[in-house]
Amino acid sequence: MRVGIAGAGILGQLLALVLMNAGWEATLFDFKTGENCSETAAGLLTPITELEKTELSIFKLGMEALTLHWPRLIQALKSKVYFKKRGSLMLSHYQDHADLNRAIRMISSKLSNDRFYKKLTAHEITELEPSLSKFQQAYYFPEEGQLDSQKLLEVLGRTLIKKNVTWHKNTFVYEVQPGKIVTQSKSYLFDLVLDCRGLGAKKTFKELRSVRGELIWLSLPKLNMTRPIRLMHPRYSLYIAPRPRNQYIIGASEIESEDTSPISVRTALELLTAAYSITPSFGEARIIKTATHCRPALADHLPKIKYCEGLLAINGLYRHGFLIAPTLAFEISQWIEKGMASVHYPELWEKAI
Amino acid sequence: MWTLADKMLSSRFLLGTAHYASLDIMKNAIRAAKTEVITVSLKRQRPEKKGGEQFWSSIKAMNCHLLPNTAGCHQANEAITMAEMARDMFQTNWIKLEVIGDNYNLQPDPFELVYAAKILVKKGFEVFPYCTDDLVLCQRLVDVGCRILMPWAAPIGSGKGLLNVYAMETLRQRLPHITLIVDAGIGTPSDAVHALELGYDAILLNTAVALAKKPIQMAEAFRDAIIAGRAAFEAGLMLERNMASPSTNLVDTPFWHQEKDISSLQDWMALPS
Repeated sequence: MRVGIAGAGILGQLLALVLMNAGWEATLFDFKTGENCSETAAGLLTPITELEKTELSIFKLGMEALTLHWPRLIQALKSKVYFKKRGSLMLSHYQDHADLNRAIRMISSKLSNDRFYKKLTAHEITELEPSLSKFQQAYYFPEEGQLDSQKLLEVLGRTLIKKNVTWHKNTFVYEVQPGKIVTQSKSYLFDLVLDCRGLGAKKTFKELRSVRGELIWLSLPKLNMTRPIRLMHPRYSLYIAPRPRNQYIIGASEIESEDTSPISVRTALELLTAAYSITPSFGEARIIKTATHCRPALADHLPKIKYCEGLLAINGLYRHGFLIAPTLAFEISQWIEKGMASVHYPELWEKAI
Repeated sequence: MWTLADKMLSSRFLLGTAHYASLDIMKNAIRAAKTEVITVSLKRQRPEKKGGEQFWSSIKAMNCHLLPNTAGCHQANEAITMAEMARDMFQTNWIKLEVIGDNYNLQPDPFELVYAAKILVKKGFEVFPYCTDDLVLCQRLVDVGCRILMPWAAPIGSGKGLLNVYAMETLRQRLPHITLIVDAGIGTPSDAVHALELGYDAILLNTAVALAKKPIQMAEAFRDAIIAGRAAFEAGLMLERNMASPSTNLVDTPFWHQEKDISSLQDWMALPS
């Protein structure tokens, strides 16, 4: 059986892997290879703290990925990929405690029990992260984690090539139809087509829009922060995602715009000021690079799978790509193998005419 | 019905479009609020490249009057440019003029604000200035041609309610023909009721709804509060008095006790007899 996958972000590539493991022959198409929004993700695996802004279904998809799929997938890739599950911290400066408390209230109102987080004292904060010595109050989410999403994509890509995937790089997909992918030069026929193009699939998802995100990569050898940190603030919420070799990603803006131009001065100021305010050690960090991406979002900020005979279109992963993609890939492979009765998240599925 | 800048409206509830967890939640909150005017920000969307078009088109589809704002501007010139861009983009001469003086609490800069308002009025804009509750500032804004003023009740996003009721009452009494809309600081529906009872014409808020646990339900709560507050103002609030005074003789109390009761009450309250 042959599957054609339009879009080689994290979901497209994972689907290729899962289906090839199940015996399918896979062909990938992507437009600007290496420039999709997955490439600039921070790799936060924080399904609980995401509840501040999202629904329980993202929490469920994310928890499944974090506890089940990512560990297995990374082990199966047989290449070292930085993946940590040491918890995350949510905190605020003293004058912004109302924002921290609001976020915690929001999270706890969506969960049936409070085992997912713990309030820390100043002493407990520095025990976990010595560089956070100026904070008096924080919440600890022991089950959360992070992965090196760029490294993962690199290893995943290599693995797919080793498995003899057919990969049409830098190829614009004009149209996706049941059993057919149309590019500028020709049409390709498949038994099944998966459309994972994100913002490229606006024709299929009328309400799809872009939410711009901007990030800064820092390097600071003397700092040893090991857990993702979220800083709550009246107007923006920021995170620091640790990476191997003392690198840190500071993100991310959320701007209603389809604008991939470089980071703005304002965002750079906000992100760097926030980082510096968390620990002045960041003053001597080096700015390695900045990144901008456009997240594909549907009106409810939840993912959607539209299906018909010969075609599945998956979209709206928004800022949750690495958080939920493995669960979606597994869900879709279940559907392909055993049909609608076997899916775990029927609310994501919509029959397309 | 009431008139806002020559438009007939039935709702006195204006709603902002920031901070919602998703576009759907925002739309449902707008519908639940039965609001007819929504604010829209464009500063960070790269309006010159129409970067925010998808978001704006879903806002336009709500069929409300759009009130574009100059949020994020710190100088009059910046705000004027933004206003002109917004006029082209949304085909409206309404502009919520925000010129920020303090970056943390987003307090308006009164000097830049008056300057920008003067120029925008001359350019034909209907200026809705976001201002503090300072009477002289408000008078200056009226002097340069503003028909609508939007004083804060408290800093944006603070939810502190009406911090200076005296100043707000003063504005209402001294500027009886100006449309007064409370913009910023409203935390609870009772804050909104209070402002309307003072005779304010409308309420503009955002955070209290957008960041509520259940934004749609909170939008309904504010909608009803605003209706109640206005009805109370129109009905005429009873005047407060310092003591309960029976309107007729108490049949169960002999008259000499009634007098004594009152005089002892006066002693107790240290009032002159």
